[in-house]
Amino acid sequence: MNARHLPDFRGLAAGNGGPAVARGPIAAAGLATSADRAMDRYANGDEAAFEAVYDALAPRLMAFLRRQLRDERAAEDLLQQTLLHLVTGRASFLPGARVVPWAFAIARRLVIDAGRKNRRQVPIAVDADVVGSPLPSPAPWADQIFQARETAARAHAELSRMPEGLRVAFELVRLDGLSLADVAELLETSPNAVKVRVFRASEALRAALGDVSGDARRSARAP
Amino acid sequence: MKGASARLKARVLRAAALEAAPTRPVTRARVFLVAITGVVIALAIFSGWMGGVHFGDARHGVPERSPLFVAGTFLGWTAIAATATWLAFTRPTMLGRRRAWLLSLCVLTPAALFAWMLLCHLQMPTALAWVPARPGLKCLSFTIAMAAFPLVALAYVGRERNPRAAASGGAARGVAIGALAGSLVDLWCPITGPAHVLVGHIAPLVVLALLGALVGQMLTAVRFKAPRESSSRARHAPRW
Repeated sequence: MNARHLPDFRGLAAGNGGPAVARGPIAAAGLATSADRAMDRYANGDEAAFEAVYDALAPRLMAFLRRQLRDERAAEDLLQQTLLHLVTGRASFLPGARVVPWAFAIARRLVIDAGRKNRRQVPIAVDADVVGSPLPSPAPWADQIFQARETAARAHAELSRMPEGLRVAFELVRLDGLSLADVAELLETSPNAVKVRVFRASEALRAALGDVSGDARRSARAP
Repeated sequence: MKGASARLKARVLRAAALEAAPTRPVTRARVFLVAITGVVIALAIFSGWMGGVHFGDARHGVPERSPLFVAGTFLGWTAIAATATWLAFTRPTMLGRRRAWLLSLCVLTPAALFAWMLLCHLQMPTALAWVPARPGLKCLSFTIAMAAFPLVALAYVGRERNPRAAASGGAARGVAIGALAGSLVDLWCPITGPAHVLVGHIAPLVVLALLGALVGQMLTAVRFKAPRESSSRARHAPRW
């Protein structure tokens, strides 16, 4: 497991959790719309539109699958299966529907099914190499790297201890950039309930990471 | 990393091109064809095999139903069946209706139909009569015979991928199609006893719900397939 698999918890650790909305380039509103339009064109028979569907969905799905599976190859396999389900089911795509919740629901179902077939729970626990790994090099930014990894490891540990409802809602909204409405649809609940879950999860994480962020702020202020 | 993601993209696009999945217009045409075929089969069974509308059964001492009574029970039954069909087959979003909704539909539709029949039959003098020669097995068989083809064929040609409630969705569709078929059986069947209604008119909906759940799970559910590209079995299995 390397650092690029770790979600970015730094904002949360620094205490700026804010409202439960998606942030970052992934959550750009135009992305979902372009994916929906591309999927609509693909459902109508425009074969070339699938590439646009792939470009819009694959990075988000891959990040989700990597985090769930902690295995690059398994994540790639499930990404392929998820997208092939979109291909085989393209005729059922409703005009004007949203492809992102559908794709994430398929990916989530595949993760659960794969975990069941492998007779093992999908691991959420912290990887040993994240917790106790030595610093890659004594570079000037080694402290920050170590800090970030420690924060991420503690966040993962805290997430793995959370009830599934809270954890899944938090991950989908804050880490995968899905909207509250999309996650509500995915989890068969209301957007308000998702908001409450994300808030509770954020509070729990912030409480767990509070001393880490405090250390970070202190070290940043130190001469 | 860029090389790896480019390779993955090429692999997925190649696999997608090999799938040859039907487009939405093609599938719509197929669904329409299946629906028309289902209606033709149901009408053929109704008029050819069952002999059309029966108002009474003098052989077993069942009195004649008035045309108004037959029309009333038929229209009420059809209204409930049409509502159930609309709810079972329309999807507000790509994830379809929630499981709780679909399961409620599976329970409430037969209950509403039974209540409606009971209400109508209470106006008949033989409302609670039990006719030993007509326990309801014929009605049960006719309903299943009319509904089985469209239920399976629509699930097959529809090409839906339901990651959330495939079995519940299938069960709801089974109940809905069974209810539609049951409206024709109601035109044919003059028996009014509650036990007959349960065995001949409500039980087939339960059977079709189970068949629909099975078909939904087999044809529309999202299931993980173990990758098979590698030669070594040990390398096949995802390592999570």
